[in-house]
Order: sequence, then C-alpha cells, then structure tokens
Amino acid sequence: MNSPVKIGCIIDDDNTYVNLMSTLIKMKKLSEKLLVFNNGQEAIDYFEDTLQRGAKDELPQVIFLDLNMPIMNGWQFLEQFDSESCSGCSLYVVSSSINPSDIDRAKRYPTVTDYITKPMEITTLEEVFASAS
Amino acid sequence: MKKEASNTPGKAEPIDKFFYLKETAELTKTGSWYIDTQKFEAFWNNITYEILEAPLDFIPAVESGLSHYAEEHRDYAAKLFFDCYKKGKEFDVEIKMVTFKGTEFWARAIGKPVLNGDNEQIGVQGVFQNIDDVKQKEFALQNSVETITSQNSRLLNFAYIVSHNLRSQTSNLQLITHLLDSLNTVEEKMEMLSNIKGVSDSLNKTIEHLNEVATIQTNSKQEKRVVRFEDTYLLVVTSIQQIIANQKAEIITDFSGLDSINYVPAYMESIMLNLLTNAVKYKHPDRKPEVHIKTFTQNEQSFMVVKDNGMGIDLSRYGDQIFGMYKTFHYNDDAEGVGLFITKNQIESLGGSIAVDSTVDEGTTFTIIF
Repeated sequence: MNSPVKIGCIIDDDNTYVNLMSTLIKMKKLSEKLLVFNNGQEAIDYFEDTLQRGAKDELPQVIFLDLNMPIMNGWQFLEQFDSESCSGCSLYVVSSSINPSDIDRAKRYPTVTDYITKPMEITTLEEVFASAS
Repeated sequence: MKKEASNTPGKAEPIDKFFYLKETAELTKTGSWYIDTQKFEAFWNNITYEILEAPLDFIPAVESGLSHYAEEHRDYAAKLFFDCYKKGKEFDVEIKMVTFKGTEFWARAIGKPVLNGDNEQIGVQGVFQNIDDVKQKEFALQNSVETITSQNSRLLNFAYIVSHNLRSQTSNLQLITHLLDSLNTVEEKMEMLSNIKGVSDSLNKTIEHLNEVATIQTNSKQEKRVVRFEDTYLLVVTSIQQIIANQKAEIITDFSGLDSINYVPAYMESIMLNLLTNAVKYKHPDRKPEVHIKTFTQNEQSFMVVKDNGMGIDLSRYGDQIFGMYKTFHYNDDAEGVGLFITKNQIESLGGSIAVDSTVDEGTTFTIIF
C-alpha cells in the first residue's frame, strides 16, 4: 500500500460517526492527520483562513462531506467552497440519504469526486485513501 | 325542399320532428333561447323555464338576460353575447348560471348567430344544458387529486427522512461491529460499547419523532372542540414553567380579539408549546426573552401571532428549510429540528397555514391562520 495521505478531513455533525471514522482511519493508518468540522461553516472558515495564510500544506487531500448539518449544510458548503482549497484533492459527499435527487445533485458539482452512501465500507474507505495518496 | 321519406312500415306517417326534439331536450335537460336582435326580443322554450325555475308568466327580456348568470360570470357572459351578436362569433362554454330561486349551477352554453337570406345577422340563438352534477364531480375529483398529490409528496419526503435517519444509525452500528472485529485491546473494545449507547439513544429519539409525526395523520380525524386560548395557554405555561423561570422570560397574552376556536385540543397545545418554547429557547444573548401572543379575526379568518425578541433567523438563507424535518440552525445542543415540522403539519392537516417573518438580532414572528 502507498504511503498514507497527509491530511484527511471529515465535515459531519454526527459525533458517533465522526468518532468511529477517526478510530478506523487511525487504526488503518490511512491518514497522518485528521481534521474534523461539525458543520460547513467551520470548514469554510478553516479553508479560507488557510488559503489566506498561503499555508497550502495544511489543506486536506481527502474530504468527506455530510449533507444534513446545522448552521451550514453540505449543499451550502458546496456553493461556497473555493476549488482552490482543494486542488488535487478528492471531495466525497457521504450521506445516509438514498434520495436519487440528492445523489444526482451532488454529482453535478465539479468539485465532488463521488457520492458515498453511509455506512462507509472499510474497503471503500481504504480505496478512497489509496487513490488519493 | 326535400320531402321527408317515411321508413315506417304500414301506415305512412311523417316523423314528428318536434316530438324527438322535445324528448331529447327533456332527456338531456337542454333549454333553448332565441334573441331577435332587430326587434330586441327574447324567447325561451319551456325547458329553459324549467331549468331556470322561472314562473310561467315570466316574460324573458334582452335587458335582463345577464341576470340569469352567476354574478362572477356576468362579465364573461356579456362578452360572449356581444361577440356573438356584433362579430358573429359562436361560443361553446361552461359557465355558471343562477335560477330564479337563487340556486347556482354549472351549464354548458352554446350560442350561434342567426342569419337571414341575405346573410345579415338578425338574431342570436342557443341552447344550454345543466351540467352541474358532472361539474361538481369534476371539482371533487380535482380536489382529491390535489389532496392525494400533496399527501403523496409528503409521504415520499417522509420516507426519505425516515430512511435517512434510520440509515445513519444503522450505518453507525455497522461501523461499530466492523471495528469490534478489528480492534485488539479491551480498552478499545470498551470504547466501542459507549458508542453503541450513543447510537441506541439516537435511535430511540428518532423513533419517538417518527411516532409523533405518524400520529398527526390519524389525529387530524380527531374531534374538534371549542378550545379557549387562555385555557390552552395556562396549560402550556405550566408545563414549561421551569424554562420560563430560568430565562426570566416574559410572556404577554392578548386573546381579546378571539378567545376561542373550534380545534383539535391536543394540536392547539402542541402548536402553542412549540412556538413558545422556541421563542424562549432561541432568545437573544443580550436581553431577556419577551414573547407576545395574540389572537384575532380578520376577513373572517382566525389568526394567532407569536412574536419574540429573540436571536432571529436569516430567512434569506434558511427560509425554505425552517419548517423542514431535522433542520437545525443554531448551536443549541437541544435543537432537534422536529418541533416546527410537526407544528406546520398539524396546522396544515386541519386546513390552516403558518408563515414566518424574522430579522436577525431583532426577533421572529410566526403567524398562523387556522
């Protein structure tokens, strides 16, 4: 397997899910560092700040974005997300929604690499990190 | 003129055209009329009298012709007659008419110009048929289609929400079992157990919410009773006394404009409880919550307005989602995103509506029309 991704990022308000994903990523050594944001706004703030400081090495290579979140949901995040924050990175929308209109809508964003339906399979997770590193 | 050929065997007898016309008109409830535009006179046949419930001694007149149409359709009828009379334009329409006894009914009306040998228009004539039965069925059908369509879309939406929320819990459970298999130390495995507790709690909550939503549909068939706003208010305030005291909230009521309505009592409690709790919960950080609740009637409609001085909400950003299920907008830990969804559904299931107006940092106003 390739060397692990440097920075992974989870944007999700479900604490249990975030806990489990972090444990999994740590256990499988998929990423050296993991950023966690509980809603879109927190993530946008981080990305904007990082870009302003020109600290591109602090930007993640893999982003998992949830759709239903308070303050700023996944859709609003995608509207505001500056693709410069993610040059050469992969952004996955990860949601429990199996509503086809959600899936179509997500895939229409050029910044979205793919749509993953929860639960995230361990093999899928490994593949995602492998293709990003 | 062509001579009518008799095809009746035996005794040759001319077919009585008038018999057929009369019987057909009776059978189909079709009245006919004629307006002589030169002499300015109007004529009706007897079925027209019958349909319009006119006294037999009534003499039809051109001037009073429009009075046989329902008020909201008189301009329309006038235009049809005028176009037929002045421009020779035929019409075949569905229009609402009114009998002498004041009963309104839908009719199919056909009108055509009458020409003389020199192709000059000398009158207007037509027939009309009472199609009220059919029309009422059409309206009823249209109504049910609309109800079913909106129910259907609500159900579909609901199904997606249910599936989404149950899936997020079950997918967490699945992740936990995967991890339990892979983790080695007892400590790590123990930590997974605490996650299971979290999932179980959320699952429970989700199912509670689903129960609440599902009962809206069955409850809307519940009997309405006279509900006094003051009574409901006292009941609600007692149940949230703790929150009100903690936040030092002041609630000012004014039920003088409308003190009671016919409603499902449980809904009124739930609606008031949700709106008042929200008003206090989402208070402005810099001031004590002050909530005004007022009822009144306007244009024969019953209103309840709940106005607070809370933190407000950015409607340009969240306007379409504020009544959605599981939509939360603030950092409050106890925000669950169910209250307003249920409130809206309860109000709508009884044929009412709810609207919101809000300014960030100033407050929020909910207006309900029952």
